[in-house]
Amino acid sequence: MATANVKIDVHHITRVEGHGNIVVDVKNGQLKQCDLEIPETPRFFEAMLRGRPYMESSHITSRICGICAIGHATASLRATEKALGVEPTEQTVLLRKLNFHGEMLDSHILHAYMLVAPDLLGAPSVVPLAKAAPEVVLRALRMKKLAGDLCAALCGRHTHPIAMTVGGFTHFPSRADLEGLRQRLIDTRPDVDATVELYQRLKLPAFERNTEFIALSKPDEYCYIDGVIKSTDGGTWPIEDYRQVTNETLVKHSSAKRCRNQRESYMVGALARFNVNFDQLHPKAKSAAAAINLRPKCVNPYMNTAAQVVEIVHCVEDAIRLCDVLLTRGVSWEEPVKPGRLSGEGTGACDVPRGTLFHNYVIQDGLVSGANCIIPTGQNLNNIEADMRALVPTLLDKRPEEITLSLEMLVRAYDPCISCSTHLLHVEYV
Amino acid sequence: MGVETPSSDRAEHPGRAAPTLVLALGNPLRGDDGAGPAVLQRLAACPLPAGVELIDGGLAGLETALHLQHRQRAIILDAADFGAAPGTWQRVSLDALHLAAPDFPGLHAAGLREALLLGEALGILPPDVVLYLIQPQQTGWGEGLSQDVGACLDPVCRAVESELRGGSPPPGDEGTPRWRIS
Repeated sequence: MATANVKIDVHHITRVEGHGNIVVDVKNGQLKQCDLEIPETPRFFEAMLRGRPYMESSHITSRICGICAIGHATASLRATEKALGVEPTEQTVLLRKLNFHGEMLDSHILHAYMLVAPDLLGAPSVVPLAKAAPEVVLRALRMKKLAGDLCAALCGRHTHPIAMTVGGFTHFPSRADLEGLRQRLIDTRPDVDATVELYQRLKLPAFERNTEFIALSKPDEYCYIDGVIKSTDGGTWPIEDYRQVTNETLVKHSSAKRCRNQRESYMVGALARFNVNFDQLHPKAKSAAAAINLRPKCVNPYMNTAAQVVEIVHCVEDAIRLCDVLLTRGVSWEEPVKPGRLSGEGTGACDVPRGTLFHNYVIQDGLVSGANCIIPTGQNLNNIEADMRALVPTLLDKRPEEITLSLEMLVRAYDPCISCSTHLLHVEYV
Repeated sequence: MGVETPSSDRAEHPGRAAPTLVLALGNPLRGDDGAGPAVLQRLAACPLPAGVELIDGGLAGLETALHLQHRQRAIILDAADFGAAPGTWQRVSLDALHLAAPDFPGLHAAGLREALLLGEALGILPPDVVLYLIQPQQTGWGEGLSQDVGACLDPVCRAVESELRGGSPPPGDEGTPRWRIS
């Protein structure tokens, strides 16, 4: 029997980064309110950059996020480099790609194992899960440690990178570092296979709603850095035209801005990348997707975590390839490429774990005079709410606590980074 | 003896992990939070018995639990605010720490407490875990220890070295039920 009246008020959703509330009000079977409130205070990172030397931007903006620190640093460096006419060397590009895989692995393993798996395995959090299935949690810790060690070898540390700079790196991994990392990546393949097997067994909720998926794209690689903006609804945009895609607006119940492109909302993140760039995935990642029953175009947002697992396979295999390339060509000390000018405007974009990230800077005489950072979670907020509005009416025959869990799991599937987006969870039934 | 940064994978392999681990935690860029690593540097200059591994664990995350796996004993050096005068230090056994938590609300910012809770749940903690906790004066931005904390490094180092050599540990404060680990 349908529930005529439902009030849900989840104040601070757990197992997400930052603070967000879910507020749902159903009266006489009609959905009156369905909001994802973002009560966090804006953090004003863009304002912090103004007046600072361009060399400091990547170090300041990496502090936007402790998970995507390398992603922010990379997007920041690309924005600065474009503004000042810096073209990074082939070695820098290779090292940045390898570095990026470390962060992608670290973040995806945290989300798939520590934040989502407890819901699917019936555990309230990772500690009871560790007691019930220690081999699962130990596997996650092993893989996370490898990811963090990879980042540390390339950029000094993961949170927050110190060796990444405009035009290159200030530290380089030794041949022994790369050989050691390559062997550990090869040794981690059984853990990767076990991760895929775990998500073959786990049953993600069935819910579908068609939407627009947006990701960076390149014809010849599964794109995480640079490329063009591409939509599953058709269309590509140069990174410099990011405002034409993001179209930020304000809403009353959120301190984070909202985005829309060709529909009322769009989705970025692992599932978007999977849908946009499936052809460029490593063959082993495509096999993993088939094993998990994930096929493009998948319009079930809960499958974002499955797409992250596919990307874990891709990143491990591509990291091994990159180690091979770097070992074959050798890594030598390179002075960072110096700027050709000290004034200009540039936009950098990366597809970080939660989706497409944009940094735009205006630099005048070496000092940042304007900055704009558009974070993936902010771009996903409209899409999460649209999913909630479509999902709630299908849940009205369930108990309030079951509705709450479904909504929390939906929000968690997006792997939101709420603190980053407040320039986002708590479910509130009112 | 040198100090390892956590870049090796030895701790994950039972045959490669030294039976005794001394693990320092803290950020030397945050004033007295660097007390643990500073003690570790002093220990590295001491002739220590075989089977001891020194690791600078930096800022503790969940993966810290892996450092503790396959060990017989772990000594953790960390700054902790326990309301004493700056430079005061205490040897505390794991049993005396109040680790119980209702949930893991902040996995994105997991620290030593979460790592120990997870290690306990996984059943991988060594039988013998002790912490040497040093009361900081300040943990603001900047390098360098305060005078009072700097003055306690040698006594803490001597106490840890003595314990590693099988000497009697200094008296702890096992009866104090609650500790906040910074």
